[in-house]
Amino acid sequence: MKEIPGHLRVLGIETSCDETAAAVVQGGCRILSNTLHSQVALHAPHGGVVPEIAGRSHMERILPLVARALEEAETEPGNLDGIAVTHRPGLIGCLLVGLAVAKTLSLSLGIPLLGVDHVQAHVHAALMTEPDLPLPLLALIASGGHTCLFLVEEPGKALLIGGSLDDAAGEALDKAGAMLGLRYPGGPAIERAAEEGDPGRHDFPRGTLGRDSLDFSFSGLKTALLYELRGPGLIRPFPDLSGKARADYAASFQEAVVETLRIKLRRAAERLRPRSLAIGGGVARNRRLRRVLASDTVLGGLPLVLPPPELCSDNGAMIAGLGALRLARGERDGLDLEAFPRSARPAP
Amino acid sequence: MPSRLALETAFPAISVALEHDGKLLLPRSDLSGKRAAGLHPAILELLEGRGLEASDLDEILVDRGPGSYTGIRIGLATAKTLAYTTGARLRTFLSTDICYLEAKKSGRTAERTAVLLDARRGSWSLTVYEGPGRRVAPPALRRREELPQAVEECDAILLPGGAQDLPELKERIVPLPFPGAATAFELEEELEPDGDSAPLYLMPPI
Repeated sequence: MKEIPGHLRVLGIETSCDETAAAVVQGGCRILSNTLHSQVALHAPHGGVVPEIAGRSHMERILPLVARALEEAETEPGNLDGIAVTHRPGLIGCLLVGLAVAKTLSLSLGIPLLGVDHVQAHVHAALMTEPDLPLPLLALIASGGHTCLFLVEEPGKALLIGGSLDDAAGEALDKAGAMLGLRYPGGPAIERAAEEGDPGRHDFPRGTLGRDSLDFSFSGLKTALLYELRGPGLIRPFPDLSGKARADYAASFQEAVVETLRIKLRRAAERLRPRSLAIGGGVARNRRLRRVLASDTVLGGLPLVLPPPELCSDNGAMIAGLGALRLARGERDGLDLEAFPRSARPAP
Repeated sequence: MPSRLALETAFPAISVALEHDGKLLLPRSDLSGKRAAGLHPAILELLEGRGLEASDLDEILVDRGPGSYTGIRIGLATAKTLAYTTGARLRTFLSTDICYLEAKKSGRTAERTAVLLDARRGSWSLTVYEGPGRRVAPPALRRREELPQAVEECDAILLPGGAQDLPELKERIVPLPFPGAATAFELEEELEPDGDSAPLYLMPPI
């Protein structure tokens, strides 16, 4: 991270899903501003992200957020050195709004445009938090859209070593929350409900996918909860749960998710022998997960980075940070930069 | 003479035009088949071609609909950001206004003229013009089965994008190619540009 000049100021724009965000970062790590508009309230009545609602909200919010990010950073547009923007993975209609703003800023200010992979930026948030972290770094990214393990031998170049086969961890938590009659988004609601529950009350499966796999599967866990609630053959309607029963289900389900993530991270650490560990993504805000990983005896010998919550969920600072690294390396993107729903596949 | 940039992104093919020193300039590169990725290179090409910078622009005209929702957002996000960084004046127009104007220039409008745009999902946007170019009914959504009655009093029905399966309206339909951004420069003389800078969504998001 020392390769990024301390004066370099980059604006980061994030519109890949249901958060509109803009931030200014100096020297790759120093966050001068980090503005965000969450769309949770807009999507809550629908129980999930509605792409067209998201696109409309990004359109309404992004430019005022950019202006606020610059104002809070006490930075004139003309004093920026680069514009970083999420261009993958995400909802295409949402990514295109951020890209249009970023390209126009790049064009009109005459400064470089830097396309950033959103998931890679989640990994990079750990290096922004602890720039001197020893490498290789093993990072677990868990959110509503992604659950992945990455190995970072060089900053900005995270190698995917395990990914979601079906539901992401956050997606499973959201769906479980809906089944338990909790408000959207289910992840934070389950965490709150779990505080009063017994995590050992229900024995939910850990989707380990055998002894060797570093991939993730949470659909079986989700189905196990569904059958637990509605019975074999799904013959019963969803039960009207008491507060204690709901808390026990929430705590047991959360424990299964956390334990599965811990098993995979430990498995990868034993195999790849990293020198440091990190977590990121919206699920990394979960306090139970943070406590379990921090106290794991096998993982405990390695420095573990738990970025602050505002750098775990979607944000513009991580986009600016990774963009600054690309800028310092002389990388640039053209104004014809495209949006993609998925991350780039690694070269064979 | 002010320098003006016009962006048209509501139709299937994007289009960009620059008016500078009283001359109309269009990009040399072919934008047909290009969507979002072609817009900014085309703007840059136009500006650099005249030795201009974005800060030399005085006015930006942009379509706010009806049309492709994603396309409208891309155009408006671009225009608003340009206005934000350069201080240029932002003016919006309706996609149906440039359709009407293009048809009028070639004598294909009538005393009462409808502009129909396919809004998908079995719906159409209908805008009605009268006399020399007065918009008498703003863009509104109509179901396919409502169209014959809705355009009953229209003598000409402009259908940008060409033929569609509307046999009962066939005799009054005037197929048109989608107009380009340059037509927007002519709007002030014949139609009032719309002052609203919010996207025109005719359908609810869900």
